[in-house]
Amino acid sequence: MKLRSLAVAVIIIVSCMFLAGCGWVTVVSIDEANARNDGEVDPAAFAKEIWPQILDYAKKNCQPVEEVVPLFISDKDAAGTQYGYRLDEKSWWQFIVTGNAKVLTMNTKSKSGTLELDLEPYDGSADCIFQIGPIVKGQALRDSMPFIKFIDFKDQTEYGKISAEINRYAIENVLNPVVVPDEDGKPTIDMAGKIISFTGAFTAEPGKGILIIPVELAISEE
Amino acid sequence: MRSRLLFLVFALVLAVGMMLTGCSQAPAESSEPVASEEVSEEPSEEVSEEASESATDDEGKMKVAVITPDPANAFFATEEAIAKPLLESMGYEVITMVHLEDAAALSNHFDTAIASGVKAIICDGTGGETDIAAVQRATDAGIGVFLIDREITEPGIAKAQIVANNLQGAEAVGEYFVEMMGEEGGYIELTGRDVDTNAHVRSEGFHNKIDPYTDMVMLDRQTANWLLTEAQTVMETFIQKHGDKIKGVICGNDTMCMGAVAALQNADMTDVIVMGFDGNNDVRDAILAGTAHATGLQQIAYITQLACEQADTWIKTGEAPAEEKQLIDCLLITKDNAENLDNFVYTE
Repeated sequence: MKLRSLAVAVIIIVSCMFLAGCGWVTVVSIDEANARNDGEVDPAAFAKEIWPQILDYAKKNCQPVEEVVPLFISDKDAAGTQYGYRLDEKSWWQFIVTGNAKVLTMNTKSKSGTLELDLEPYDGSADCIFQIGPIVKGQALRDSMPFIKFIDFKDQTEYGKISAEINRYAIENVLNPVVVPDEDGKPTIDMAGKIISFTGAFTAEPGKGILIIPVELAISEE
Repeated sequence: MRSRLLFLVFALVLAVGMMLTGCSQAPAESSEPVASEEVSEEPSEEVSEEASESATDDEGKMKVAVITPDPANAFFATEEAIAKPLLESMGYEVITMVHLEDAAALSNHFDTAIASGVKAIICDGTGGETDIAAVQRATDAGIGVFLIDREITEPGIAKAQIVANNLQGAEAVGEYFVEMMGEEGGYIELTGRDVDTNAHVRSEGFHNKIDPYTDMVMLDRQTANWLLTEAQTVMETFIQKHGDKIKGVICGNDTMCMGAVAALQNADMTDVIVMGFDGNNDVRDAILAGTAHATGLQQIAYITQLACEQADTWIKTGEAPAEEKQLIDCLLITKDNAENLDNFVYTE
């Protein structure tokens, strides 16, 4: 009797192997199952959680803006090698800069509001552009952080949302307290002529100029 | 006792026999052709005849297959134009095949490649889920599959998936579209083939950047399936319907962009802002002439080159790229830099 039960058990076990072997039944490890069910990242929550790390990294790795920008304008690759970061040779250079600047003009006609900045030593000519929202362009904040990588996300779409939410966090927590937008998002503080201090990131995108998005911003002189 | 022992032996033999039989069956393939009335391509039987190489190789060279979508589109034609001579210069015999967006043809080409004894496959697939089974079969046969342009959603099978960052590129075009439109006005969107992930990713990228500007109004949106003549026909219909309300047209690829440009030029609507995606020479020329205004360059020449180099390394050393998924950023091409672009290569 025991031998018969054993034989039946063997048949059942090997039948399962047969079914799995030809793909009729998929055997999934617990880890795999967890991974498949562990779907998507909540981009807004991710941005909020990672912001302290972004700010910390920026503060520790920022370079003087008045040194980076002139070198960048004359030789992008030299600036990248000396001051920048990129994931690999296939990627664009990313820069994190800090310093003071005089605001020459403030453009709030566009929803992608900007400041034209004159860097030290102040000579009255615009050296770079600074984004003040309510809509910001590019992915510099995400891409200047070595610990935020495409391969850690599901696909381009999710990776793109991460950047959008990091930018939104910067707008709400760094820019808005300074520019004080109205209900339409338009800044109400006139910054033209003022001196600002900031830390921010920009991307060396071919054919485009310097477009900084901040992690820190203050008006240091009225 | 003896009969019970015999029974056990019989049961074991039966069970092992079942197991061995089961393991020899190939998994079921999903090889339904893509059903689309707009697809005007030739049937798959004609296409597979282009794989003209035999299984025996008199010269002793290792073989690599290059499988691309459609030579009528300059973007796809560039893939073969770059890959074939590059791989030949590396000492390989190259088998080239085109699938014309037909999933069954793609599947057949993979089987042809496997039967031909290739070491690697460079492939720009259909962009749909059905590619996965073909890639898996080749991988199971010991072939290194290096995908370009279109991803598969299952990681861990192909040795590399080198794709353009369609979302970033589309967002760059979307941002510039808003700028050129003055942040307001009515526009048309032409989208790509619905089964192609890239069609959706690009539309999403456009809207991520356009939609926050509430004075930008999408008058109409329709697929033109990546095709020039279809885009022209669709655009003509929209011109009839919306007339002067059309201030801009944003297209999921350059061939559709050229179709839209043709329709607008014929209707003498020369002030409309028109943008595409890919970075081909036709749109470059249109941008320089002022009939189109921007495109997102996918660096497909570079992507193809990378795939060939990585395939070569893998064949010769067994070393696969450190990361399977590799994202290559797109470049915004406008009148300010269009002259730096030629055959999908941007030189600053």
